Order: sequence, then structure tokens, then C-alpha cells
Amino acid sequence: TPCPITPSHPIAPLVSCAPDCTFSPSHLVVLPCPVSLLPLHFPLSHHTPCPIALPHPIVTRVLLNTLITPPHLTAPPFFCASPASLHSYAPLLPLPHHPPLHPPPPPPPPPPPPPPPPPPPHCTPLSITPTPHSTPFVPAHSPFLITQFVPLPLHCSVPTSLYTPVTASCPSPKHGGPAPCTPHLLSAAPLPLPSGHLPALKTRDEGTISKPQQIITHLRKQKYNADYDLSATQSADTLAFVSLLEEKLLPVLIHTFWVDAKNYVEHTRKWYAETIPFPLNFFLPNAMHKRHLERLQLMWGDDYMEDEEKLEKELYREARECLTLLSQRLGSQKFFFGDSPASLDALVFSRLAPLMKAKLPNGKLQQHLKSLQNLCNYCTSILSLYFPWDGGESLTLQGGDRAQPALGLRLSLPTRIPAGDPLTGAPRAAGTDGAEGEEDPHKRRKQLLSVLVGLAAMLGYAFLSGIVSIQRGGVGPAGRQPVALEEEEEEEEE
Amino acid sequence: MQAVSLLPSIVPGDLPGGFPTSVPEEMRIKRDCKKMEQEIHTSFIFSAINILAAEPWPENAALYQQLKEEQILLSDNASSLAVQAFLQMCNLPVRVICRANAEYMSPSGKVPFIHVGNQVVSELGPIVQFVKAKGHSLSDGLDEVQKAEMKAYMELVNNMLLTAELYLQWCDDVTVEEITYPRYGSPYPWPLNRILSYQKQWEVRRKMKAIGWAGKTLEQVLEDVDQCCHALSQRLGTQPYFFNKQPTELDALVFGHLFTILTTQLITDELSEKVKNYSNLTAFCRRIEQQYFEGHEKDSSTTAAHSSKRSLLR
Repeated sequence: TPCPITPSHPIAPLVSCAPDCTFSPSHLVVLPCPVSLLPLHFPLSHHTPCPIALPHPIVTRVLLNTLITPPHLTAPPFFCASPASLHSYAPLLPLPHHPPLHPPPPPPPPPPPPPPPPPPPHCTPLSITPTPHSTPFVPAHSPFLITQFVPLPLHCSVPTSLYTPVTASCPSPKHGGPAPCTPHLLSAAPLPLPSGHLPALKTRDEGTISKPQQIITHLRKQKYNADYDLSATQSADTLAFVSLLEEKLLPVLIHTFWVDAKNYVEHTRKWYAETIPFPLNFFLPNAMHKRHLERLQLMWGDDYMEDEEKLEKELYREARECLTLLSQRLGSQKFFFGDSPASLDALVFSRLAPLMKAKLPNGKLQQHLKSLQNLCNYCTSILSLYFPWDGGESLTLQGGDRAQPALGLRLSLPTRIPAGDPLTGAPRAAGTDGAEGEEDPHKRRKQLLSVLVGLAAMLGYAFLSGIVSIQRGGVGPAGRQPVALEEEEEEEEE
Repeated sequence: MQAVSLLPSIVPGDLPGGFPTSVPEEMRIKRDCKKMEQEIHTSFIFSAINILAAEPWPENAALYQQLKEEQILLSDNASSLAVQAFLQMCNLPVRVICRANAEYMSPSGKVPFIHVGNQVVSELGPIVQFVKAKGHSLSDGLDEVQKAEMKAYMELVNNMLLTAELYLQWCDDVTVEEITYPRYGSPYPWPLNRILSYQKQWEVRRKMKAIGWAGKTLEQVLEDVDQCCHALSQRLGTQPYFFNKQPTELDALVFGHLFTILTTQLITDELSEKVKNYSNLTAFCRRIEQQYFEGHEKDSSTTAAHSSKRSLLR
């Protein structure tokens, strides 16, 4: 089957088709992934996996253990999960390969139609579609359904995803289209998940994979590989830089977000507490804090943990040096290895983007990062390319924070909006409608439920205590009642 | 450079105790204070310069490690050898002194450490910086990108090779029983040697868990070693050293680890086999050994080190 991607597609240069790529429709659903999965436009490799080593497990693990996601927010500038999708893992974001302007059908069109090798029909950028999705849309033929936490625009101070390197190699599409991953939004609780870890990839064939390393391996087995075009030296460099990030930058990042008292209390804890659903938000952030603290203690020894100044001076200095080294290595290139992204780019991006975007009260490392202009531009460009709903600039709206609410709102349409609206309304308007529509059904349902419960309680009490009783028998009640009335009348008369 | 005012400005008349308040005396006092400030300032500068650079490398610099024949383990031997290679490459003489309690003497708890003048510095990273402050550096000729790569590769070796060595000697049960326990506590009498070994093992295992290596099997660890060696081999290619024609601290570090792995006999030969697969790495080790270690055979400590390197670690 010919590759549906046409050369004119903006992302097309990154992607090449493999005519002989066999596609086994494994139904992948990624469970609550705090990380948005970049992948959709990553170059694909359809050959045997590149010899490059996979990222160190830690890389993804730490970040991926963060919870994200707000199932919904009152002012959701991001992509909301519909209540139904919370439990049905229904994809909300239409896949890029959905025909963009599909006439709003309540059952959304199954993206790649065909049974055996479903070619992703169309690679459209993610800034998609007003395609309404009525709820649990499960594209039966979609090769991958990836539930993910769509990263929230950072300006809304909701914990954004810490983008993982999983995203990088992740959904590189098989047939040259963007990876057929349908992002699902789920509430952030890791507990109901099989393994308690995020992100998780739920595949049809192999169950749920929750270690980022394994997710990447799995995707590579499915012939998705972002590193295919790297030379051997570049692969070796990737490995080296991964180690550098792990050793120097990552622990300090963890410290900045989770251990540094001011940041943790004022920013991170609040972030997570706001978005984790009710019972868990009291103790999960604290548990994560303790876990990270312990991990840093093991890594650094008690020496550093007790002496704040020494820690600050030496370790932060090394982290700043690491950032500077990355900046020097990047130079003025678009990505680390030329013009097309590789897994190293995903990894670096996943580390830097939260640091860049989060509003930390105590942000020395952040300031240093912001002073490295090429790294900032690098992050922004990746965000705009691969996370257009999150932080990138939309084509129609102005770039920057103002655009994001609209984008997010627009994308939140899928669930309860009647088909016609999204297509007709302007993005912002539609977005607002969407948002309201999003909220109302939820509220109404709650109201209805509460009224019903109240009624049921009252009736139950009435019956049980004998205030109201049902008497069986045909004429009896009718006969007795007039008799009773007569008696009453008599009594009244008397 | 502006003179920093080290003394508070004295306002005559404000101080208790009958400070002289007449005008010429004020002027004199001010002048004296200023002179004192300047003297303090200049002496401060001089001492700073002294500390930073002026002290040359002494002849009696010493490197401390554990006992070579009986006690030292794979990872510590590798680190120590890396530091020795680095100092040789910088042409800085150092004596290797073996002490059973080297680990406890070290300021950071890790061997090796060097004792130079009145400074004690441990681990390769800080030693490199210390040596640089003394004016010797191997990586000055590198440009920025190369420096970034060098640091990255050093972290790669630390992250993968060193951790794999630690895993092998503390988390692989067979090796632990047969090699590590007997060796680690060998200088100490009976209950203490076991206690120290258990304590160290517990610590290392905790650390492995923290970085996610606890769940790995030996095969996976060897696979990681293989990938690391592959990356190093790719980077080295056919060059004599990793960067240009001159060795850098990366070369020293890689040499330390690879040479130790190649010449240490463990329970099985799998680890050294992984390294032997890459011929340019073995050639690299041999080249550095010939150039920097065999040339100094007159030095008894290095020859002892050299011969013991080839000895069995059992």
C-alpha cells in the first residue's frame, strides 16, 4: 500500500515510507501518561532497530513517575478528558491521520480504514481538527491508541507533563504517517494502573508496559525508531550525552522541583495536589517527595543533603555546566544531529522543557537555562512542532500564552459538543462552548444524581418508617378511603 | 580593582571611651586606617594567589588506595588506575601507597585520593580540577564542542562501566561470595570483616535500587557494558586517542576501567570478553600501558602496581 504521506506535507521530510513494512495492528492504549507522547511526527524507521542504546531507565522513570493531568479544570486551557473518557480510555484527540475535515459524524470515522495494513490515511499536524468526537471513540482499526496526559500549557500552572524520551521514539508511524497514537487523557492517579507507574502503554498483544525503556523497546520492535538515521559515532554520542544528563542534570532537576523547600511547597506540591483526584491528592505528592528525597540521598550521600550551601555551590554548578555543554553541543543546529530529531532530542527536551516553562519561585537553574538562548529556542521549536495543542504556536492564533487557552479549548471540543459546532465556530468561541459544554454535562449529571439519591433516600425512609405504605388489593383501598374520609367528616362534624 | 574597605569607617566622636576628636588626629587616624586596609588587602591577594597557583607540584605527592594484592576490588582498582594514568599523562610524579583503611581516610569515602602538599583530594573529577588549578591540564587544546563530548563520555564510563563493575562485585551473588567478601574485609579479624562487607554491600545495593539497576539481571548488565564499549569503540575509531593526538582525562579514565576489566580474573570471563570484542579498545589499552607505565619501570611502586595488575584478583 502506498504511503499516504505526500511530500508536500510539512512533516513529510522527516518521514519515509517503507513499502515492505508490515503492520500488525496491535491495539495500543497508553494509560495515563503524564507525558505527552511526542512521537506523532517523529521520523520513522522501518528497519531493524538502530544499535544505539536505549535511554537509561532512570531517565524516563523519574519523570514518568510524576503524575499529571488534570481530568478537567474549571478554566481548562488544555485538553480535557471527558468524564466518559476517564474510564473508557477513549481517545479524545483525533489522530492526525484522521481526515481532518471529516463531516461531523457522531461515530468518528475510524482513522485508517483498512483491516490488514491500515495505512494512516493522512498525516495532518496535530493542530487538528475540529473533528468532534463524541465520546468513547475507540477507533477500532487504529493501530495505536495511546492514552496520554496531554501536557497542560504551563502558564496555567498545572503540572505539565514532563515529556519523556518515550515520546521521541514512540509513535514514529509505521507507514510514514504520524504514529497512530490516540492520546487519551486520564486522571492522574497512578494507583488504578496495573503497575502504578506512568506512563504506561497498553498493547493488545502484550498487556501493559509501564517502563519507559520497555515502551521504547516495544515500539522499536514494531519498527518505529527515531534513531535509524544516525551514524555510529552519533549513536555513541547519544549514549554519552544521555549519561551526562542522567548524572549531572537529572538529580539537580529533581532537587529543584521536589526537594528544594520553597519550590516544593509553593509550586510542585500545589501543582500536583490540584490535579490529582480527590482522595489521592492529600498524600501522593508527599509520597513522591519522600521518594525523591530518598533517592537523592542515596545518590549524593548525606554530606550534600545536609549542607545546603555546598550542594548549591557544587552540584548546581555542575548542572549549570551541563546545560552550557548542551548548549555548546547544540550550537546553532536545529536538532542535535542535524535536521531531523532523534531520541537524544526527545530526552534533552524532556528534561529542559519543564525547567524552562515552570514558574519556580527559586529558579537559579531556570535562569541559567533561560540565558542559553539556543536551548530555549530549541525547546520552543519542539513544543510548537510536536505539541501544538500544548505550548506551541497555532497557525491561526498568535503564539504565546494567549494562544494556548484557545488551542486547548478548541481541542477539548471532542466530547460533548454536538457535531456542528466545532466546525463552524471560531476556535475561541468553539473553545469556550466546548469548555462550557464540557463542564455542563458533568455538572448536570451530578445534580441529577444528587437529586435522585435524595429522592431515593426520602422514599426509602418513608417506606421503612411506615409513613407511606403501599396497600395491595383492588377495591379495598378505594373502599376504605371513602370510609376513612367519611369517618373524618363525621369526626369533623362532631 | 577597588580596594575593599575592610574596616568600618570610623567616625570620631561616636565611639565611647574618649576617642580623640581633634581634627588633625582624625586625619591621622583615617590615614592609618586606610593604610591598614591596603596592607590587609594586598596580603589577602597574595595569599590567594599562593593558594591558587603558586605552589608547584611537590615531589612527595602520594596516592592512596587499598592493598593491591589482597584487598582492592575491581571498581576501586579501575578508579585508582585511571588517576594514576592521568597523573602520568600530566607528567606529575606520584607515589602509590597502599593502606587498608584508605577508604576511610578519603575525604569523600572513595578511593583513590591524593595527598599533595597539605591538600587531600579524592576521585578523578576533583583531582582533574585540582591539577588544573596547579596549571597542568590535558584538555586545554579542545574546543567547546569537544569538551562537551569529553565530559559526556566520561559520564558514560562512570554511569555504565563503573556501575556495572559495582553491580558485578556487590550484587552478583556468586562473585560476592567467592571474591568480594574474602577480599574486602581481608585486613580485619573475623567478625569485623564480615560486618564491614555486609555493610558495604547493603549500601551499594541501596544505591543500585535508587538508580534502577537492582532489577537488572547479569545478562542485562553485560549487555549494557557491551553497548558502552561499542560506543567507546565507535568514538575512538582508528585514532590513537579519543581527541586529537594527545591523551586527555577521558583516555585515562577509559584506560583505567578497560585495563582493569581485561586483566582481572573473575568467576567467569564474560566481562572481559565483552571488552575483547573491540580490538581498537584493547590496542588502545596496550598503547597507553606501553607509553605511560612500562616506561617508568624504574619506579618500584609503579612496577609493583604493574605486576599486580596482571595478577589474579582471587
